[in-house]
Amino acid sequence: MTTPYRVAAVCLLLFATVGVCVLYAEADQWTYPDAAGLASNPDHYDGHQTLLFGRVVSVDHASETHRLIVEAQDVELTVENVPLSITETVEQGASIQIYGQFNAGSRVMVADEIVVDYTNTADRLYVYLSSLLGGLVAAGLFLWYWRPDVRRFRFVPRSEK
Amino acid sequence: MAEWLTHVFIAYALFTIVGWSVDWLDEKWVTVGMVGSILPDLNRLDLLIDDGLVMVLTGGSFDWSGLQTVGGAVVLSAIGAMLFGTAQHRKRAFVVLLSGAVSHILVDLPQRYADGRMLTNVYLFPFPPWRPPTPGWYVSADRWVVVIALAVALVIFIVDHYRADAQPVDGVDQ
Repeated sequence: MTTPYRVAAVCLLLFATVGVCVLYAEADQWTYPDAAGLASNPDHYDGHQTLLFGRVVSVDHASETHRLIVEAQDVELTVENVPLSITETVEQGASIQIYGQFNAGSRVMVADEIVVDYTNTADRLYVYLSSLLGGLVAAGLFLWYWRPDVRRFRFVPRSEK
Repeated sequence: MAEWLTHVFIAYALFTIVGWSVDWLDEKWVTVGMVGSILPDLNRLDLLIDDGLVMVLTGGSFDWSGLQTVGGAVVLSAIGAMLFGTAQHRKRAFVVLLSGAVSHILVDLPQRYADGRMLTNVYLFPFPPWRPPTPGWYVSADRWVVVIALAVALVIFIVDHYRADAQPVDGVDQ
């Protein structure tokens, strides 16, 4: 396959990649309502169980019901029945998953289970920096064995001339 | 998702082991597999270009998470394969990149989710959603995950070099 054909193939495949992202966005891969759905049609989802991924906006330490205010898909929700171990450890900006029941009247999620993905900024920074390092290791080792031949739009083993 | 360092270490270990029985899968192809192991996380491009911005530009639905799926892995691996000059290299690159991407998805599967199920509904796209229970071994920020991955990669690195030293040199068979 000559270089122009490979360039054309890459362009076509980039369109296909965009197509995958479009088709994925239009596919309904979840059985649960999302936060936007809860906000736009709360009565319809009253009493529904759902799984939400969100960021902690604030922690209500004073509340007897151990509440969190969480933002998911630009929608703010109150989460109740949060374990004390979580309200004591999570900080503003923490990433959490909430599985629980939505109450349309009070616009509250009553949590059955909460998983904390990032407790604080340090957790998020750890994941981003170790990912950056992983990317550098992979790219560095790849370029150790392969050299880019820019003119012919390809990678060539460094052991070959 | 586990962080990329874990994916890269696990991919190194897996492809090195497979290379012990597949002649052409040498160090240079192992590095291609390591690159493949981070392809599904290109969905993190949403940190640079928000889904919403793409939707405004294209006027339709768009979700970078499509890249973190089997379908996304196939097209990204195909793009990567097209960056190699010979037909043989392209075939090998596609197989190794796709295997690396699949290893990424497999490593991500046993993560903890609040409803106790795997995120296979996302990963399996375009196949129908299906969510078996997850063992819930870890979340992204658990530091021990990369420690285990590094330990596995180091053991394989040492064994690989021991094997290489033990190989008879052509014409100097002892």
